[in-house]
Parts: sequence; structure tokens; C-alpha cells
Amino acid sequence: MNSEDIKNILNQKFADKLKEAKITGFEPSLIVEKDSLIEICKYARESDSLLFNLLSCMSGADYADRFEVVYLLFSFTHKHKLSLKVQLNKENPEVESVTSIWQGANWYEREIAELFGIKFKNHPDPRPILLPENWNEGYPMRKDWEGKDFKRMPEFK
Amino acid sequence: MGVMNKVPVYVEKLPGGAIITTKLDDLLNYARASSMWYLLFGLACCAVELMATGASRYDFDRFGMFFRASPRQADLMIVAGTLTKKMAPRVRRLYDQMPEPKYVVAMGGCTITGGPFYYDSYSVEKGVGHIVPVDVYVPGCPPRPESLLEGCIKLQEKIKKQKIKDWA
Repeated sequence: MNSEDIKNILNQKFADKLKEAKITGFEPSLIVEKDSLIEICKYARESDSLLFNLLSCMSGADYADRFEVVYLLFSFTHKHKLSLKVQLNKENPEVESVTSIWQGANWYEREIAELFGIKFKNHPDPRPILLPENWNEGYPMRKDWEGKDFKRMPEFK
Repeated sequence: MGVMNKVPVYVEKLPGGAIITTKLDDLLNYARASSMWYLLFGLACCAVELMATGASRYDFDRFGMFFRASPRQADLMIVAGTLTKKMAPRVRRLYDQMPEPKYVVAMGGCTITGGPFYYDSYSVEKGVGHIVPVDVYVPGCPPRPESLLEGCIKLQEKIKKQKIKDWA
């Protein structure tokens, strides 16, 4: 199935739950509503025509006015790809965990929670994962983060 | 005996050659400087250069230096590579486990100031000097084996100037 078909299938089924559906490069890229993320992920994982059985990468991003969580999906059966994004507000970034759909999301979500301060609801094991055990300087991947001995690269003119 | 040709002039050879006399300082320092066993401490790419120095082409063994996998058997810690904040307590613990007298060589830009990770990094400790006392800094990114050998020669010179009364 090509990217256009994947986009169209999801666009028809979840028309009112997608903020944006387009093709970037070769892959379909969808921005989904936060509340319907689980529903869409479940469909992408389980429907026979899509069957996205691998969460190949998951990352967070800070766009100054919002956070985004990006899910890159791949299907071993059909050899096709999809990227899903959710946009979260700055004040209370919170999204449902997808560990119930892809087990592999577990450590990705712990990492994103630790580095961006994005909360994943219903995560089975929400401990910190990478930073030092006694870390108390906040969320270092945020754009506005300032640590104890953290220095910004000076501007060169 | 090639070694005897290089010892300082105040060593007396007694007739018959059974006894030599020397200062205790010089004897201890000679022994310490000539067998610095170093703790394997490869943290990043500098470790590859450290391995090259230990291998046959540059040959650390000429100085009596061998790598040890245990801090209990090591005299010298060559911190080779980027020291992250998470690794820093482990470095300190291994340093504490080494028996006295002990020395530290900081190898490469990262261990001196944080190097390329000085700016815009939340995870890198800005210099191993914050964690353990450093005897010799070897700059470079990574330093060539010749630089590391030079650093170790500098450390040998430092050891040979030690006085036993300072260790009390």
C-alpha cells in the first residue's frame, strides 16, 4: 500500500479527529487529537490493511509554544511506514501512554517523561531512566532550561 | 646491569658488589615511577588512543606500565574520554578504592574542561578535576599516543621529585 492510501484510509475513518494529514517526503504524516490517540493507534496496529506492528521510534520535541510527541510506525507485514504526532500544551503536557499497544513504548516514554517533563498517563513503570539518580535540575531538553553549570554557546558575529 | 649505569652518582658500589647504598627516597621513587600500573578507564574515544598506546607500536610496557582491571592493583588512573555527570560518582568511588600512592592523568579535552561539550550540554561534567585530584593533563581530542607517553614521562618526573617525609 502506498502512502497516499494509508493517509486516505485514516483520513476517512478519523476525519474529525485529525488536525492535519499530509505526506512529508515519502511517508504519511498525521497530527492527531490528543484524546483520540489511543483509538487511532489501536486501529493502526490492528486493522488488517495497516497492521503497524512496530513502534520503530518515539520522540519528544519542544517548539517553544507547544510540545509534540512523535510516533514513527512500521509494518513488518506490509513494509510501510507512518508517522503520528500529538501536540500538547506547555502548561500541562499530558498524553495517554501507548504501552498497551506497543510494549516497546515503555522506555521511550520514560525517557521523554524525564527529559521533557511530559506526563504519560497509565504508564506501567513511570520511573526515571537515564539521568543521574540524584538529578534535581528539571527537564534538560526543554528550550528554556537552565542548569547549575549549564552554559549556552555564545553568539559569534 | 643496564639499570646500574643510570642510577644517580651518590649510589656507591662497594668492593665486591654485594651491597649498594642509596637514599630511601630514590629507591621508592625509582620503583614507583618504573611500574605505574594503570586502571583501565576508557569512557569514550580517547580509550581507543589509550589502547593504541598500550599496544605494540607505542608500547606502554617500556615504562613498566600495564593495565589493571581492578582499582586495588592500580597506581595510576588514566581517565580517557568524556566524563558524564552520571559516571562521575563511579569515577570517584574507583579512585577511592585505589591504594596509596595514587596518581591521575586526565587524557583529552573532555576530561580537562568538558572539551567540545563545554557549551550546550546538560550531561557532561566540566572537567575531571572537579571529581578527583589530577596530576597531569594531556590535551588533545583525542591526544596522539606520543602525547600520552609524554604525559606519563611528566608524571614519572613528578614522582621522582617526591620526598618520603611528605607522605606522612
